[in-house]
Amino acid sequence: MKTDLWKVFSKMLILLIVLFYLFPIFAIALASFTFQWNEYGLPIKLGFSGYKMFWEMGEFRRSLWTSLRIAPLSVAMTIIVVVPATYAVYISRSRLLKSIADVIITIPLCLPALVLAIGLLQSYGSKPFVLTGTIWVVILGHVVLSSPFMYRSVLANLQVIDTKTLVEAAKSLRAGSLKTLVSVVFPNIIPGIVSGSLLSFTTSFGEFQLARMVSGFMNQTFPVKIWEASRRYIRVQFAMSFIAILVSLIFFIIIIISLTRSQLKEEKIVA
Amino acid sequence: MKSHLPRKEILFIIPLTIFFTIIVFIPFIRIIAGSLLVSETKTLGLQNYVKLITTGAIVRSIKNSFLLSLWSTLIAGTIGFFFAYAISKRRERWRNLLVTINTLPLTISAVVTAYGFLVVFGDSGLVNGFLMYFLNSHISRFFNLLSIGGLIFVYQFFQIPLMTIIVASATSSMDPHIEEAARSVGANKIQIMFKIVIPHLLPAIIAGLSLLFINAFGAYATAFALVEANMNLVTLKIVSQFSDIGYDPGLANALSLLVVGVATGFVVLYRVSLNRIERPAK
Amino acid sequence: MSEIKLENLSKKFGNVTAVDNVCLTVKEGEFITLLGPSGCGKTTLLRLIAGFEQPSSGCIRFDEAIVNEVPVEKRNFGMVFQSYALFPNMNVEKNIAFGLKIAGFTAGQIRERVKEVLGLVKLDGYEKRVPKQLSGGQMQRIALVRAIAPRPKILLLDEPLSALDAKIRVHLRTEIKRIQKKLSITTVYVTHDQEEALAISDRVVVMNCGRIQQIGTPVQIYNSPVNTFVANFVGSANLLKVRVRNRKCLTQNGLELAVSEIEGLQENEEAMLSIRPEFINLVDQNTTGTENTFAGVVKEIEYLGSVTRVKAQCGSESLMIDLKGEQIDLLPENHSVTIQIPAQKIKLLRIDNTLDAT
Repeated sequence: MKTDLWKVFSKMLILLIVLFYLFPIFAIALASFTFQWNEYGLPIKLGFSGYKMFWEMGEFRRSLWTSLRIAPLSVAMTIIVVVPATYAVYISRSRLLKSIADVIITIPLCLPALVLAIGLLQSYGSKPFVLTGTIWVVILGHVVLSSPFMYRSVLANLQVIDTKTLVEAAKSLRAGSLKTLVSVVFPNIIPGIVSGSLLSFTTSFGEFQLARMVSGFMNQTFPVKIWEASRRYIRVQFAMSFIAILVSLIFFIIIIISLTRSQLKEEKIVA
Repeated sequence: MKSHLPRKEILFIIPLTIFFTIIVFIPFIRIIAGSLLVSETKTLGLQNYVKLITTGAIVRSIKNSFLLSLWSTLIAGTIGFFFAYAISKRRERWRNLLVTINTLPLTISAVVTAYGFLVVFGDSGLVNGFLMYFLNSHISRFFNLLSIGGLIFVYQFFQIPLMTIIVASATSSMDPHIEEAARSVGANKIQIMFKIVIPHLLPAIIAGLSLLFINAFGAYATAFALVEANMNLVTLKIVSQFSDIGYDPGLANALSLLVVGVATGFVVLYRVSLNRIERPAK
Repeated sequence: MSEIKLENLSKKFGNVTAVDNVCLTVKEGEFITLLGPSGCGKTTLLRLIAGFEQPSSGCIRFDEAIVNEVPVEKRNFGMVFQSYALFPNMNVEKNIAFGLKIAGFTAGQIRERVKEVLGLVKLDGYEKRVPKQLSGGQMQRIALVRAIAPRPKILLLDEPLSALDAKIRVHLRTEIKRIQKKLSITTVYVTHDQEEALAISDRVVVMNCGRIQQIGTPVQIYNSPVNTFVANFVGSANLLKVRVRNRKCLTQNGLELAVSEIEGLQENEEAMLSIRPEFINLVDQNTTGTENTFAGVVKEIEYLGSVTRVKAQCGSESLMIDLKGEQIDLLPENHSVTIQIPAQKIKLLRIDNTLDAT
């Protein structure tokens, strides 16, 4: 009897949580298409005006492109900086190296985006090292914030496929280090990189505090503009919010599909 | 022969090190230095830290941040734990789907999350609309989104997924036969949960709770989007030091270091717990 | 093909000595097996030969040349790993071609050679398959031919069959031996399965605690174990502590046994008597005149199909006896039996502590 109670409870819990995850998305969707509310605050007329207004206002439109430029760049840089380091940490026998890298990778956890922003603002806000006001400081900051995701994802990948033994096998077949990396290691960690890219992209795209503090007026990102819109143009605010959700969602779906497609491809060959 | 191996590996670490030096270490030093610079007198001193403990608003903000972080962590920790456990009991297809859905809230911007909750639970939101229409009562009688309690609720949106991720990866490496063995000797669900499952997952639980606390304590965007400067929170106070009213970067730096200090403490706990997961103490 | 010489080879990991002063020569074209329980150092020894580990002291020679400092990729050997280690991102053909391309084969030569080696293991036509689609046995065979395709001078195998089902294991070990013989490649094989070692090796190196216990042909190490560890690890053995009295062996509870190799032992000297279960006979109660005949009581019976394993109590000594076929119905428990131990089959070993060390 008790197990049945648990089964019901756990199924309900799962359902509740999933609904909890989804409701803000639907709420924003609804609000974004609402043209008019009644006296109770319930929507009574739907329309596209929020989206129209967004599209017409240059500063809001530009912020979307800014974020869509920053996010891929920060993902690319995160890959370049973090993936080799992750591999080195995995394959190394030096305990010193592993501890150093461990510490470095844990640091973003201790430094919330806000503290990072303060530090960057003060260090590079004035001469001689002016970085603020460009999109680059935002990109660089986002790389730091994304690095734990990429690291975790790639490391898990390396471990699951027993990369150490694969490297030994390659060496036993006389492959040099470069050939081993290019032909054996890299192709097999692509799933880890792709999976890490998801959270890296969405973290960068949706990031608010750092972007607001250091990006300056010319390069405001999408989340910053959404907040600005909330003070003046409510319908635009919701339209933009839903666009933000859509961008995250689309990226999310693309990544999930590409990760599962590689699995399906193999099953097809067997059949 | 061993001599040329470390050289290659160091090469791989160099970009990361340079990067972090420029973007993390130097700004961090700057913050430490800045915290010792008293804004009013432009001299060095520990006044900023004194202000931390003496200024009423600041002390209240620290207390509020702690309360917010503590409660949101405990609640999300419990829910996330049972959610992860429930997921682990499902069949593989459902498990993968649920784990995937679980990462969805984390991909949504903090600001957007705030507005999502505002639309539904805000003073002029959907729930309020229904309450007014059917019961003629305002939602503020029951629930105020723009309060500590409200924030605790909103924070669940990204805290629960985080906890779930950490606990779920631990449950996936848990031998299902352990529970079956316990059932075969007559243990009931509650005994199994408290005597076997929780102790086994304890490192993951502690790691999760630590991470959640850090996350809540340092969170800014969602709170800002909802309450702006109308509430006393450490992160909000930090940013308000850079506004036109009350420009005090020294204090901001000191507060930042407080946040870093708290975060570091819990990060240590987090890493220690993670190591316990990978290398269980015998 | 290369000859491998290990001279005073040792490997320490911190305080733990994994390989202790090993001296061994593997002749050209020989199939030698490193046999021992987990943790005995056999895999470490293999990895030292491969170059994945560096020796703490001693040297390794391939054809007289010292290779201690030679990196793995230049040692010209093929290796088969326990987990197969097939590259997941490549199909079978590309996996095999990987080493061939590095060795300088042209595209045409590669295609031919891939076909050739796949034929060796009867996996013709498998070129385009991906590792995920292969069974364990197939993966192992591909791993094997990938290793030998570039025609290396040495072949190393690290417990290649451990992860496979019993029947496949028996089949594959014969395949491995057949291919090795055909190519005459110097082979070092690591396993903990003594039946496997006996079945396919030219010589067996029995190891324990990092040290070589005995080197010999399968027949030698089975019939003439040099210490109690080898006697007990390779096959089973009944081990009885005895003392020499009047040119016979006296067990601790008074059983007297005549032994053919009693020369060389002093009166009153202690020794360990070893007799294999299959050599002990059950005889008719009324047999007289044969030496080493004792009364015993059946305590346990295990029917194993081709063999019936009987545990009998002779006074305070417990003996394992292997009987051929189905004699199980003759032996209810607690049945009295008469046990006969042929003197020529008894081996006397020194009392050492090799058995206690795990």
